[in-house]
Amino acid sequence: MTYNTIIVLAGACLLGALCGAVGSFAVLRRRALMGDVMAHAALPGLPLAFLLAGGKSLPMLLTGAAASILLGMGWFAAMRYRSRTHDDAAMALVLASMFGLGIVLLRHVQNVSTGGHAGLESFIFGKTAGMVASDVWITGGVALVCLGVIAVAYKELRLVCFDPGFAASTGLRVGWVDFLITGLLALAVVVGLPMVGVVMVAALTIIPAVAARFWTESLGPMLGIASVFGALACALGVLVSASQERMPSGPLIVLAAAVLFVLSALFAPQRGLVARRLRLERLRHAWREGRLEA
Amino acid sequence: MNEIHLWTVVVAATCSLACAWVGVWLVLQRVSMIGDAISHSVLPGLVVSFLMFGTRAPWPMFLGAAVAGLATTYLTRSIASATGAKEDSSMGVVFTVLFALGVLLITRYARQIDLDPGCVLYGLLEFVALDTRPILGVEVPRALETLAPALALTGVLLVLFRKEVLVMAFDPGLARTLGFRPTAIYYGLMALVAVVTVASFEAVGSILVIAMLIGPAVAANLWTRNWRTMFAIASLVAVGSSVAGYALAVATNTSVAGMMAVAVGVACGLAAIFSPAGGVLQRAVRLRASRATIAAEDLLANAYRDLERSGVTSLLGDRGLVARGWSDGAHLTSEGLITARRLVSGHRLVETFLVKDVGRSPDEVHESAHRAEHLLDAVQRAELLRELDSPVEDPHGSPIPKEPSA
Repeated sequence: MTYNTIIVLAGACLLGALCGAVGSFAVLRRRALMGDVMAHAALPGLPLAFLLAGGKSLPMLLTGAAASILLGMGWFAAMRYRSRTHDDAAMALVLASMFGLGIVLLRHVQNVSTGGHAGLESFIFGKTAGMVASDVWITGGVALVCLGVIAVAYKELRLVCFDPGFAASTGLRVGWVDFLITGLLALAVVVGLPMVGVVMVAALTIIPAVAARFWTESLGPMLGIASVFGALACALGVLVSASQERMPSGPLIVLAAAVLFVLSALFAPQRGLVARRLRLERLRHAWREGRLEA
Repeated sequence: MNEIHLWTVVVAATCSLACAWVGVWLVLQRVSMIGDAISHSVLPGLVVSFLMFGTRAPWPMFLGAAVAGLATTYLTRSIASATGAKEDSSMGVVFTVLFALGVLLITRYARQIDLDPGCVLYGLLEFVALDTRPILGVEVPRALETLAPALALTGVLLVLFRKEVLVMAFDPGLARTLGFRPTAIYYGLMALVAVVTVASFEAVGSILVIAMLIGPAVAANLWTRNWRTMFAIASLVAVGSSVAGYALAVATNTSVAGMMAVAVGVACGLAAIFSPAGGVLQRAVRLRASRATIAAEDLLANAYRDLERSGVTSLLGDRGLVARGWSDGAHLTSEGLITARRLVSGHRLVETFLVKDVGRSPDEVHESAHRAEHLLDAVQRAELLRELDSPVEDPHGSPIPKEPSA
């Protein structure tokens, strides 16, 4: 393996683990598609940061993307809670309009700047193979921060994810915990964007978490399994992409995650389809032999 | 306005109209994110149909898109029901995987496929007016060959099935009872979403098509609750933002499709603020008005209590005479006195009710009564009076004024 492949592998695995863990909260809070909305809403921040910073410094671009996501989420909240618009419509509207604004600004940058703007668009499709060591450090840093936040707020997060009604009755501000989850998700999306692109980073926050949900009923193990699935999918995607011609890593990562999802849905011990079917058959058998009380 | 401008706007408006009409149903049924899912997942359908038929003619493309759209909805629903996963989770899994598959196919067969990912994403509205072919002697943009049938199909289907879809949107249970086969209609609608999405790809691209699907409907839904008006407003917003988006994009030399999406977003923001049916502004005005009413009513009730303390009302009020004068020199008109008596009577009736029937202590009922007095109407006060056997005094020993007859 070349040095470059190792860098890409390390960065992708870290990103996968981060998105898996953070995405678990979104999935449990029934906001699975929020990562997708955020990934699209981040776009206007990139050209704006480029214009303000006068260049393509990665930290500036990521800050711009984060600010843009925050703006989009504010718009979403305003539409959702201050008007008659429902969740789904507010999400779709913010996603598409912010993306439109992003494209308008990108075109503007292409018009006014004398150069150096090339590659801003790579945030849309992602450029996994172009990862450098500093990307890995940034991802690692963000992952550590998220891990710290999750550890500190673990009790509150768990309560809100599994029983928001009870959480509210204990005096916990559910809104603030949701805000925290939104923030964590935004961080993961922002570092993921330049690596795998808009749709693939959304997929990474959803698929590993949904797959992990089949294996366990408690939050701790779910976070662990989702992280492992995320990392595994990224590793598989990167390795296959490196060994084959004309096989982009982004889609391969998603397809690897899909394989993990299908395996989980079929073979997970309690909630898997096979286990469910077996339980049902056993029950039927017992019923026929009269071993069941009516 | 020269011909290129005109044709571009016509293409944009045709596309937005078709999107808006389908979008109203998506928004009413609260499945807007299906638009996002389908606009991503039609990609593999498009690629496969292109590989099979080797052409970019509208009908094979529509077929591929409809199949992909149906597959997305079907898979989303079956995964959710078979595994117990939430519908949004399974939708997220399905459309991202299908999109990944599409991107992979495009990369593998790039030589055979004339599909540029950038074009699929942003659309090429700027150039559609240049690619024309003559129809009846007029040079018509080729894009209309796809969009016009899509618009016609949408219009015809929605008119034919308007009753079914309407009942489904507002009362799915009733739809089933009436024998409308909601599942079939749902899938039909999703296939239509896919067809419209694909037809719009060339013009506005895959992401901005979501703005045109959902935005006009959101704005219309904020503005009215009547579905006919909703369609009219959604159409207006669709055409309006096409024109505005195009004009702004030409003026600032940016992406037309992007500007249209921004225009739609702005339209929704404006609707949320200025809507006569629950807009932010209207609610603020109402809030101010009711605050002013409550403050005025509180002032009147206190004036009455002052009169009461000075003994005027016990002398005059009960005999139906009008008391004038207030301790510090202000005057209460006959109308003011009547309103004040209503308020104080309501207040004291509620206090009596809370103590006698609910069993709360007399010390803790004032706050509730103070809030309730502004909301009671004559009928409710009469009912309370009857319910409590026409009490003369409240729990604090103050007399309950009789309801003025006028």
